[in-house]
Amino acid sequence: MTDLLELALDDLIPSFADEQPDWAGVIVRSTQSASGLPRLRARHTRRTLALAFLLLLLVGSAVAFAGRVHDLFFGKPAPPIIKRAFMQQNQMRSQMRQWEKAHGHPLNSLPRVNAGRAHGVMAAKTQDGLLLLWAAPATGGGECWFVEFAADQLDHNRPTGSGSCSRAPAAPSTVRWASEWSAAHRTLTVLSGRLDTDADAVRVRLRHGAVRTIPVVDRYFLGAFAHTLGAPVRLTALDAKGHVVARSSVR
Amino acid sequence: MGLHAKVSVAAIEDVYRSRYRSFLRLGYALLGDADEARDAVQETFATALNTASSYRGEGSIDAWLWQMMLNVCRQEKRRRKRFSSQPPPDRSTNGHSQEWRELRALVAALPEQERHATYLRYYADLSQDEIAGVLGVRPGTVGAALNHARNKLRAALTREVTL
Repeated sequence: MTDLLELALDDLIPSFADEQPDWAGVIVRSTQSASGLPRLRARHTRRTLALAFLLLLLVGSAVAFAGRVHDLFFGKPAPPIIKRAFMQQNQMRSQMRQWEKAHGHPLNSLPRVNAGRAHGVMAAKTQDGLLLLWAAPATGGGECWFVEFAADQLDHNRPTGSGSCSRAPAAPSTVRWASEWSAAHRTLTVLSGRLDTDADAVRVRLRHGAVRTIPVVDRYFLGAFAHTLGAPVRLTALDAKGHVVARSSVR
Repeated sequence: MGLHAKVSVAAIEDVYRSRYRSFLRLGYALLGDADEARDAVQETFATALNTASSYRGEGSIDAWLWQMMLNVCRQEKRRRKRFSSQPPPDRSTNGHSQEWRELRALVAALPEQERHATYLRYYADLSQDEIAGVLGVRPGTVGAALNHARNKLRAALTREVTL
């Protein structure tokens, strides 16, 4: 093998030098697989009459806001299928506890969520339809949230989306967030998160340089960006006067 | 989760942490997309945790995990074919070199055994014996596959460098 060929082959593939392993993510995924719980990533889309009804309710408002995030359903009680999604977070928590006990590996377990109090927080209009964020209080003063595309809401009669939780309130400068990509919505990167302080907007810098600003509702933020712009690398929360109140960045 | 077999969680975690980027690179080589590669690596190790009892100790844990990674990527490619309305990944957005076009095309066109042997050799940094364990063939077969692949790729490389 010539050195040049080796170098050329090496050049075909990114080095992933900045990538960090996510073992906790593997554990969570394995518990989902073992229990038959829905995966974090959407795989299929199924539209139903019930979904069409939901869209009719929500799309009107989305149009009125000219594609901007809106809070039409802020505070509305979550439908049973979403409450089930939160209950499944509790199941996952129990499984993680059992796993911890069995293997002596400390995991960053989820707090217990009060699924009965799940409610709508905000929605964002995307090219793949409405993106919804639901939230519910959790033990210890924390909160859990669940993000889904409305069009995926009834997939094999169970919710398809991603969930996350915050534990007890942290320092006001803390920004808890997650960005996600799924094969079912491959042109979009979804960003969701929660602040521990009041803010009006979050400014998002994406890996390839673009900057987007998304609103904050009840300390939550939600947005979807073209996947080609790259993943979020820096988040800056701003108050009504444009002052920075919290920030977070990744390498 | 059936983790009472011959492979321990700690051993799987050790491979995950120490070879994470190599698994990512193999995933990218097979799927052509960074996010799908990340997904495939997570799926591989989650599956490993859930199927640890199927590990019979007949080969190394590493080989068992690399085999699983190849299978996960094969499944993802089959899934793509079923949902062929989805556009293929846009390789131009993944931040790596757009050069070596002929080389890239030739690698993609290699027979599966030669292609996988090449990927495992150069992206996973496995020895000929280790590759044989992953692919379930004799080391001599791997050696021949690598030689065939090298000869084809070297010719393409010469042409690209000369242009």
